[in-house]
Amino acid sequence: MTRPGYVLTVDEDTPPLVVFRGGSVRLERLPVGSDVVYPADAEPAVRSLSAELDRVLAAPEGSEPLERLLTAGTVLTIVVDDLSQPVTATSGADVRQRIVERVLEMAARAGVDDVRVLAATGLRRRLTSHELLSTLGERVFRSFDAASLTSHDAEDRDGMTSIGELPDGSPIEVASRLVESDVVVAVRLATAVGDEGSASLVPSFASAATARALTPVPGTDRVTAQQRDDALAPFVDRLGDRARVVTIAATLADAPIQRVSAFLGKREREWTLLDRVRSRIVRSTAAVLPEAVRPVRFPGIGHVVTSVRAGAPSAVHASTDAFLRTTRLANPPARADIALFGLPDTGYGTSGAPLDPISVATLGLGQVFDGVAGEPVVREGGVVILSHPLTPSFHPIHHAAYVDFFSDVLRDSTDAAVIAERFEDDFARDDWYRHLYRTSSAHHALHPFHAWYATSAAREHLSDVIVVGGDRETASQLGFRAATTLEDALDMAGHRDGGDTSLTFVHGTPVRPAALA
Amino acid sequence: MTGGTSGADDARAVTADGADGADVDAVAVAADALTEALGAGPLEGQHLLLTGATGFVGQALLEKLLAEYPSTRISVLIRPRGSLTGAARLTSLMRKPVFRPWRDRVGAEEADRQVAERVTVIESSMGDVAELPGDLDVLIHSASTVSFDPPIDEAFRTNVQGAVGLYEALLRTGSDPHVVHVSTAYVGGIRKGAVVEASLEHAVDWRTELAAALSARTAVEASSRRPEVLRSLIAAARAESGKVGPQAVAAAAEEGRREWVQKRLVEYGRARAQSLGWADVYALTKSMSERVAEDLWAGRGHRLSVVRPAIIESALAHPFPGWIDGFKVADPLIIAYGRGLLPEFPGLPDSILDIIPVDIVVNATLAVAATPPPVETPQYFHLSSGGRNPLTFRDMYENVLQYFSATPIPDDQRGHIRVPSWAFPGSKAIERTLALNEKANLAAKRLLLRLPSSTTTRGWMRGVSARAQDLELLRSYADLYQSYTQAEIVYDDSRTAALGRAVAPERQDVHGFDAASIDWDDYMQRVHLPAVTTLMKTFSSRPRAKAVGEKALPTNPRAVAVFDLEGTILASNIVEQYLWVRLASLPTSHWPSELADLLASLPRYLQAERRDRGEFIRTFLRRYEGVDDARMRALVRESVSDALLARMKPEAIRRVRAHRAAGHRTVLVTGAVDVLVEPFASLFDEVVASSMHVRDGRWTGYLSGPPLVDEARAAWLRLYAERHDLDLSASYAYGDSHADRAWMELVGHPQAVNPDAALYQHAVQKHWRIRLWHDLRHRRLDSLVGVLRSESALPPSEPAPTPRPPKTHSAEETPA
Repeated sequence: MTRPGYVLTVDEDTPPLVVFRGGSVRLERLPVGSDVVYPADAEPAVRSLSAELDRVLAAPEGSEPLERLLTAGTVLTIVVDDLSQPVTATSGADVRQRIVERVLEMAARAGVDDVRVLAATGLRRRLTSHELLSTLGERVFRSFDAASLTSHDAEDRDGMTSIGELPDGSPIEVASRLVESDVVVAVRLATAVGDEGSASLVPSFASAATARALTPVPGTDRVTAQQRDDALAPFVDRLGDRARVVTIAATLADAPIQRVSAFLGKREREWTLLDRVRSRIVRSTAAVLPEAVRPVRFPGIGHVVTSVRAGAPSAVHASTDAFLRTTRLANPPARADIALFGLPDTGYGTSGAPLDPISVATLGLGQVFDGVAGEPVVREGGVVILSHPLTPSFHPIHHAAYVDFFSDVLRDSTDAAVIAERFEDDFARDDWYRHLYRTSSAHHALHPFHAWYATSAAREHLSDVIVVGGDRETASQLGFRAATTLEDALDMAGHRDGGDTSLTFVHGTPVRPAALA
Repeated sequence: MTGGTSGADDARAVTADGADGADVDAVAVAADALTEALGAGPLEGQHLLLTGATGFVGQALLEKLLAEYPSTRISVLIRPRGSLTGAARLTSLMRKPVFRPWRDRVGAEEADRQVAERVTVIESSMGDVAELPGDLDVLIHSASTVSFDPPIDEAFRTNVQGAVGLYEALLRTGSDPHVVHVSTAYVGGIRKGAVVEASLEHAVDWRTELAAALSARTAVEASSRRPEVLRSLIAAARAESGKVGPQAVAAAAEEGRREWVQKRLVEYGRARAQSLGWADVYALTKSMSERVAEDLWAGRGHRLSVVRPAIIESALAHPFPGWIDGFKVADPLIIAYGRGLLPEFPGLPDSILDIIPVDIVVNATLAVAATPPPVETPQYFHLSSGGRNPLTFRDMYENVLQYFSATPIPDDQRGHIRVPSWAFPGSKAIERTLALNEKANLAAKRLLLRLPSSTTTRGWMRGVSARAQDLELLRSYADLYQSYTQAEIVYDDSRTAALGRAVAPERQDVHGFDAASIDWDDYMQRVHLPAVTTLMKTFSSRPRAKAVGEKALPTNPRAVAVFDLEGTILASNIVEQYLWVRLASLPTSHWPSELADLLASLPRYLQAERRDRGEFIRTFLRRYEGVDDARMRALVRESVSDALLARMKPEAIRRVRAHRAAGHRTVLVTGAVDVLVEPFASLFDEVVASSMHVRDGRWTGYLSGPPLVDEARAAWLRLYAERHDLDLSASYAYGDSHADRAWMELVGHPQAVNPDAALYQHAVQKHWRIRLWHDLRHRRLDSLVGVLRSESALPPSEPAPTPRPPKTHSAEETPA
């Protein structure tokens, strides 16, 4: 039995607490009276993944066993959820690799020969061959040729089929291969409630136009979140008349990869002397090494598999949700005036490089509504303090559109409605971005827009966002403010010692928001 | 002579000191004549011809005549310039500040009427004098060169031949006006002690000197075409522009030859002047022209007066205190001092700086004009202050110091400029320091040209260039003012003084010209220095470095934007790209040998690069011999393209797309191999790259055409523009190295991107836009790792061909 999450009230005895700041870590002393939300201890890892897989595949939820669905002549498509960072806790095969191998064995035994593997990238960048190789393993990689093992291409107009319509009349276009398959096996991952994304596969395989139409933009008359969910409801278990979806979902929990960073998983009150020494080492190294030299941003935070489920997506999605909810905080603190989130760089799809400013904003502000606590920990009109260096570093290829979005679009306005009207069209039609998305490994031009729209709700809710340790210019470009130390940030947020502003700090790694996946 | 008015008595009484009898008579005659004239009004109803009306003294003379001599008719000899006729030049002349008080006093309409009625323009140039009117009473010849060190032929042509032409034209009219020849005090030459107002004593024949000077140009032009001279000019041109291309070298060499000719002619002038005892060619030619006047005018039975002003500076009172038309002799010195540029000055503190305000010169000249001497007895007048009211160099310095300490020149970088104190160490010490500084600066500049370009080195280059400018200024002043401030000459002006005393007391205010009455401190502080500093603000020479905003690109379907690749759009070079490709296709065991060979060949490549970029490209691309064409393309497509794209400069990409959006044609021109440029192809309308010769599916290492670099690129661009009907003057070019100058110069908007030192210098001089584009801090190592990773993921095709050992010079190697 794991410990549930709990809320610590800071008093004079409380040691300094671990606050992530991008590639390094700080130990900050919080003011007396603040609340610290600790997430539940991680669920234990499943002891034997293969045994679990056998079990769930034999008795899936809401559907027949997969074996019975696969026969010779079945057109099979395997869809892999794309968390670009390899998700392993120890050296060993990635969980997706294990699952895909199992399914392929099953298919081979059944005599299926039309198999394709697709990465569910949606508007995110194509996975490079090397990434596919390390995610799926040598065996799987070498079994497929370049045409059968691909990432989704949202700009492939000829490869789309329409399966329905949205309330505003625009068609719902999805990759043809999915629609033309008999069985679609979706390998999905989830780390916390809500970050699995939509239960339906449509958003990950939509055409660029459909993806655009499916994204709610507050302040405009585009589709709302509720309308979207309703429109996608018929496409959860089936995609059109022929394709039938079976999900194999694995839930993951944080697990420090190396011993050096083991202290990260422990509550500070429980640190041993060794942990204290290790934390000192990590912090000093991070301070001394220049950013450019640090090979891995931070001794990694990896994941372990805590459960596996299989079956019809509607059923699996619900039970995964319920499982993850048990790790949620039972009694969240009352809504505070100020909330503090520490943001690390690892684990969010950038494979070792620092997060770009827009992703930092999405990640940080995503914690307000979709964080650990389930409900917003900060009241309406409150202030959020994010801890991250906010360096304006972008990957030249991956973030080709981000760079221009950051310098040209955000300079003009940070309001979602204004951006959508003025700039979205130009970016969507741009040939160069499309060229880079389709032939190289750049995110689609609309991706930064969707990431930014996802922050609208939080920005509406809050009165101010302060980034402690952040680059001043970058922060102001995003519409935030920057502070050098936590004390300054608290001061700017209106916190007074002995006053009655309340502060809540959410400890641990933030929840990965769906928009960032 | 007896009788007469009090004026004549005074004159006689005063000239009793030191002047001999004959002089007394002459002066007495003059005084009588002046008195007579004053009775009726000087120059009353007379017709006066003025040359040099557009010059400093000429303007002032014209103004005085218009304002104070209402009945005098004036003809002005004005040379048409360009599209402006003489009459047009007169009209614009009348708008100048010198005429403003008069125009304000009588009203603009009346002023224009008077000008129309009283002033006639005779369009003519000095060399070819038109017919002169036959009813002249007075001619004032004040036209001359303005600079001190012109080439010898120009100096003689203007000052001597011009005078000859004028006097011959005058002789042709058959009339007998009184000629006032405006010369200069410095015709006295290099000497010590007092100089009297008399004809110059020398035996130099002006005819011979004139002929020699005019023919000097032919001689020097011929001399400049000698092989020895041309070879050294070519060598210098090649050192400077060799990398740009042969045409640039030729153009630089020819310009160098023209400069050489000019410098040589200036040398001819200075040397000849000094060999004959004058300070410079200006003084020499002015004395020659005095002789011309004496021979051709006084010698043929006419009346001649010669006035010799010293250094003419701003007006004491008329038309208004401080009026001056541009910087005169002493002024650049004053300004340089005020700007803190002169730490010291070569000059004796006791030497006399002979300054005379222009209105005193004008009044004196007009008084001289109104009192003609006897026929064939020319009279001479020194218009100077050094005789009776000397201003020493130290006095001047102290006034300047006081003035600039009280009102320092504002400088937006430093607040105000603090002026240095001078200690007058003497000219030798100063010469040493100056020479040392010049050498040091030149060495620094040479060193900087070798260093790779970066923000720091560019900053240094700017500093070094500014310093070179300052030193040049110092050098020119030191050379120029040597003679004027070392002089121990005193110009005796007793005749002028006597003439001045003959002016009636009630007219002294308006028409007086007593240099002894000038209060130098007052003149300096109240009149001259403020005038000069105001003038300086109009001509401020160091433009502030303004932050240039980004203007939107104008839409123009006929404009083309040409981009270089390496260093401009891509932070990479062909060596690095080669490494990626090579290491990716070689098994790891071969890496050390490949790298070792590359390192060993590096000096050879560097040498080739320094000589000629085309040669370097050709030599380096030989390394690609034996590469499989198909596999190379696959490799680039899969992995190398990403590595290349990662080294892109995002600002460059944005710029290319901005040009596209404005409808311009976008062209990428590079010496790299076309296969490697494919990832960028979609950004541009046209990509021009080298292509490798392929045989049997393998690269031979030879290019299928010469690489397009430097001037070859320029020629290509010209052809391309013609073929596609493009307007190069509205087009844009982006390059980063000095060699790119050749084709960048063809367009109307060249832009230097992260330029190397030589291109930076050129860009600053020609006012090109300079941009700094940075790549995102994506490390080179990451790119290489990316390439290698992707390569490992490539499906293994047919076994990689045994890599050919790179060509070495050993004879045992046989091609596989």
